Amino acid sequence: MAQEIIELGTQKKSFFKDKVMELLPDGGNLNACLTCGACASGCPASGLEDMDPRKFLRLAALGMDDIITSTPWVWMCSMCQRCIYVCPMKINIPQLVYYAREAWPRENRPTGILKSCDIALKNDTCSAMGASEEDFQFVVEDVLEEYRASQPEFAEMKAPVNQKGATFFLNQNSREPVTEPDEMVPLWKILHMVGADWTYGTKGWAAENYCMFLADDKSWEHIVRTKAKAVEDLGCKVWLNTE
Amino acid sequence: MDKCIACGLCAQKCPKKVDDEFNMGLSKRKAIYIKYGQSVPLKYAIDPENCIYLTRGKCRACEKFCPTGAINFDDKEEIIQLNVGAIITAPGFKPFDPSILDSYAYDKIPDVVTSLEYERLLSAGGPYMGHLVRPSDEQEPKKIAWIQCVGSRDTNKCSNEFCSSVCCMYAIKQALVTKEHLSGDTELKQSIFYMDIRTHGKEFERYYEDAKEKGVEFVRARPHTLEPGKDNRGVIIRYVDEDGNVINDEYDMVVLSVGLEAPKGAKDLSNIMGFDLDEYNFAKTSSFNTVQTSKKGIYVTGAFGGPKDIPQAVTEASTAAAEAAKLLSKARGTLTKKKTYPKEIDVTCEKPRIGVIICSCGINISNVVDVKELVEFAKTLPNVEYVENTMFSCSTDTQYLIIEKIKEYNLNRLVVAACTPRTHEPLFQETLRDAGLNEFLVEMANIRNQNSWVHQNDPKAATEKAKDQIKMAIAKATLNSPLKRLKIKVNQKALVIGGGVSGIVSALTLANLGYECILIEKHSKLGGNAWNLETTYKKEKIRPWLNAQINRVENHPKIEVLKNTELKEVTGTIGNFEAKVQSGDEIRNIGFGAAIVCVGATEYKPTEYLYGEDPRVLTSFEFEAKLREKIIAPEKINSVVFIQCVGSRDKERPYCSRVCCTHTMEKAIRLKEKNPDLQVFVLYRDIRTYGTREKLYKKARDLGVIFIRYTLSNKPEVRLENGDLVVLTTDPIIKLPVKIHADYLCLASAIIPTNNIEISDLFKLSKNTDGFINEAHPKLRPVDATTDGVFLAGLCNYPKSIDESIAQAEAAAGRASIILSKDYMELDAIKSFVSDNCDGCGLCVDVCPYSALSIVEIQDQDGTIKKRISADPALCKGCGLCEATCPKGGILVHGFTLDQIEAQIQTLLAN
Amino acid sequence: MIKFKVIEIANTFGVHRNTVTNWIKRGVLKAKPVVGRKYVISENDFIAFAEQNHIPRRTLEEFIKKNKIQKTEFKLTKEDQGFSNHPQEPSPKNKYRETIMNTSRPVGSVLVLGGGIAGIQAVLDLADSGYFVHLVERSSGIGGVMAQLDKTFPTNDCAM
Repeated sequence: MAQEIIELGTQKKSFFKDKVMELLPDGGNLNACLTCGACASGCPASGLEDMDPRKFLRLAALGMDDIITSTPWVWMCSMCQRCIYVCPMKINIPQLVYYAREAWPRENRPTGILKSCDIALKNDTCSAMGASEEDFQFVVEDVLEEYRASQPEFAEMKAPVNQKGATFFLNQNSREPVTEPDEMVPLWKILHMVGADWTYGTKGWAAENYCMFLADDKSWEHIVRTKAKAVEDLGCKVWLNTE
Repeated sequence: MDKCIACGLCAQKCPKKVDDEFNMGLSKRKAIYIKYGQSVPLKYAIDPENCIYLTRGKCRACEKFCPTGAINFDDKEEIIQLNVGAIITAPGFKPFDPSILDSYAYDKIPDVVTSLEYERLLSAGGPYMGHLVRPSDEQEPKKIAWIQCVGSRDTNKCSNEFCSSVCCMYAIKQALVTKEHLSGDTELKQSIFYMDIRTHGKEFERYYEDAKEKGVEFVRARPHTLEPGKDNRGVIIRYVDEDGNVINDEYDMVVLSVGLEAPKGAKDLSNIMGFDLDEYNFAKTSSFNTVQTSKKGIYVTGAFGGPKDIPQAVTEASTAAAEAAKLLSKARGTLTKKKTYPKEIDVTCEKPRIGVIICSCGINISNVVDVKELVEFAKTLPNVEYVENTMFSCSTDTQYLIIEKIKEYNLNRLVVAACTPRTHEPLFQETLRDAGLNEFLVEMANIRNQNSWVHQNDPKAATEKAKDQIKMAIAKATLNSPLKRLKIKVNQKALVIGGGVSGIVSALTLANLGYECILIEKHSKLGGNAWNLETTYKKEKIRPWLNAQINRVENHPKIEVLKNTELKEVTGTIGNFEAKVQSGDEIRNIGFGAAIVCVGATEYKPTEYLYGEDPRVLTSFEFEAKLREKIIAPEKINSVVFIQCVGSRDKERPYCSRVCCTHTMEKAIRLKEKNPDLQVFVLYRDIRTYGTREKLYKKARDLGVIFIRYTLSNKPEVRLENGDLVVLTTDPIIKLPVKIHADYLCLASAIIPTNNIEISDLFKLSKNTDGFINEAHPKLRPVDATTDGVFLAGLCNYPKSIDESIAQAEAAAGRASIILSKDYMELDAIKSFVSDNCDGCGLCVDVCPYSALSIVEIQDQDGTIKKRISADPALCKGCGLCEATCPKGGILVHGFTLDQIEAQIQTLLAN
Repeated sequence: MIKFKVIEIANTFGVHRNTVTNWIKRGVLKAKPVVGRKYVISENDFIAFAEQNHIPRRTLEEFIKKNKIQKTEFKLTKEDQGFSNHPQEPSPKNKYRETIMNTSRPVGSVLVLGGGIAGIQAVLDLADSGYFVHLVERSSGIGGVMAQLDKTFPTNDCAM
């Protein structure tokens, strides 16, 4: 950080932190910090970009909004919630980080996440890798056949796609069908052995949600609604979300 | 219970082992047990939840082996009805159970212990007899960490928003005491992980600085998780220091400084008795009376009223006693019994007939010294008529035995070879009185503390030494003569010096207990510093209360108020003082039996931060005054800055003024409530809103007050820039300079003692290095001054808040009233007396620490004026320095005359 | 209707059984005694009382499920006829207590609950002042937490 002086005490301004407080229940307790450092002590991202949750919240408290809304550290946070778990004041640092992400102009947000979100938005599958409905269905059926043949104890195993009225709707992260299809099978075996009545859907089958990581509320909402509709359209009762 | 002699045989034979709660589960006890070795009453008890007979109908081994038949399995629970005039609840507190903090893994890692467990590990009576080892492998720890605020100041994992007040001090104490418990020159590393260090009591700050110098590391960081070391031994702590460095460090042991919660059963008590609890389940009280619950006649004292340390608990206990005494003053003495004794037999013309009791003290003495041999030896000594060996000479049944034998053998002296006189001499003196003998005819030989306890390796030599000790005691006892305790008449009036809150409350308490008192005040108005305050930390308004109290004091029939009056001279002793007070030109003599010193303190006027140079820089009182007079209008300004610790905690005044953090919070909250857009900044070193005052700190933060920490080596700078007041400091987390534009700067300046030199000299009271008047003992006698008959209360003793002053003032008055309640006072008889050999040389006067001796002139029979020493028995404490100094045998001490001491030496050397 | 034993309420609400008995006596818990040392209370009254005491919904529902009965299942005791929320007619014991309360001179004795350092100091001061004191201690010895401490600041005295 450049050597600057924090000037306070002049006409009261609304800080970034104040705006976030208006959006959170109980203000997220964002004012209650006593800089004890418990959050920083447990944060896996402490030290990256010369930042940790305590510093981040302190910058917010003193109105250093420029730094808060531009430090790449917010993208290194994994939202593990270890900070708020031990915070004696239960301060909602993850939410502060989330809104700081949102303050970034969309096109400046990390390319990987941005691209993945945009790709997911293009398709009713919601796949961030762009896998289509047909691709998915093909891979599932192909792998299933292979395993049924090679493992006789699983000859009766099913991996239904678009089964109307099934109890469970299972979703799947795009990575497996696209690059490591064998990794989908263990879960099928478990579901088969417990006799679960489940199905995949060709629409909304992708489990990942890069738009949420991107802090793009509108896109996030769209993705979730698309997926939820897919579940409802098939008439399933329970949505098994593997993310 | 009457039959039990606490021999311990039952516990030896009992087959059932149970976790010992006294040792916090670190060791085992039996189902029949005593709570701890010095338990009162020292009687064994059966634990009904674990006793095999009471739970399953088998065993009864204890009953079989008990030598006195003290076990009664048919005993039933009894409900006793008591009619009492008042109730004082003192159920204590419950230590916080850290099992709920899963990230600290208290239940999983053996070397993570609570502070109370650590105390037991350190204790000589604890599971390892005072040898400090860690639980996992019983090795000595070399690296120990303390984590503060576990279960306090935490609204996430528990609802303990408050600060437990004592943990910072006890952690520092534990750290400093630890070294003594480790062998040799162990390289010891100790770290205390904290959020704020709260050493706000008397001498606490110095202790903290001392700990730093002795190498205790203080780390301002709160660990997130504790992980076990290799093989589940030791603990790994990961934390981030103030520079942002992530540090992983392994410690041998971690101590969790757990907080003080309301006791188990608090709700039950409140339900049964009908008084209110606060939001933390402590008893709800007002700042103006911290011992009165919401139900009249029911009082609370100790930690149940809120977390506090021992001196405060002891003070408040006296406060509660005073309140109950006030309530019941009409019935004083109606239910107490006066103990009567048989007439004292005059033994002065009798030949000495000595009875000797040799105590085994359980196994304390008898497992080293051969008591049977001592019995045989004692029988051979001159003047000895009776010898007996008892298991516990201090037990009740032995007292009956002694009285019986005195009568049977016509004994007129008693020698008890046992423990130290400091423990039980009064008991044996009492026994003699019950037998009709003068109490000073007993002599003790300390064959325990000074023998068996320290010579465990050489029983033969120990026994020989014991023989010498008994010889000497008998030689002295032979020359013991009956002594009379001095009786002085008590002047049942009190003098209260100082008319602030403490003085007013003391005077009212004394008056309401039925005693007359005179209250003298230097200024023309009563009330002292309280006029400068607005509200208590519980938001109660002070002025209306103060006005009401002043009204009561000035109109009370038993109180005489003298304003514009100063104390000039004091003579006399407890029960009988004489003072000269001056009002203008008039001097008046006042006689009184006890005095309470309440001379208060003042606000320090700073010499920094542009104070005195810019009208916008004010002290706390001045700021409050301007707020009250509406000169400062919170709605019209932009920002206010507070700087804490101005004049406190520095080289000149290395103490904490205790109340300033709370006052600042209280003002900051008021400012914010009047104008939420007003920016308030507090520059601090540690925030010390102890106890339930922590609520204010949280509220201030929630309202948006910004807190910036500074250090003594990097103090804030205050400047004028174009007529604007700016405060410059550095933020310790971001490490950037901060410039704050301030409309007003309020300095929380120190509390300094007023010119107490005169008062303390007049009463010969001692002061500490900072000028505050000392109490007799910081823990056991927190309201007694060092001179008998004088008590103190309020700021003159140490900075404190108004509720603490009120409590201390009432306590002081309560204890003073104990003296005033007597018509006569009995003093000890071990006093110096002047013999005919005295020629008034005065050497003894110089060495007397109690100023009890003076040179007087007396006229001889033939008219010559001679110099002689006069000893004031009321002041004399019988230390013997005079007797040792006098070259002529001119001054001696009753009970320890030169003849007696010489007899002891002669008998020792005669071999 | 809910039928319960005192100990069941005590365990659910986390209080001592005597507290529950007091609640019933004071009418705070509107229950009527029935044979077999049990009590009955209307479901609504019970729910209201439980909510006042912040009992979690789940626990409440489980309790009701376990203890619910049909209206005709319980037998009223004799007292039930005259049972009301007002305090009982003074029995001879109560009358004695009331008489003591009404005299103009108070009783010159004090009850101190708790034998820790605070209780002990209060007892000593009061006794020295001329009042008879009853000290009640729950465990088998006095001393409290202070007796467990090793040394005390600043004199390094042993806590004993």
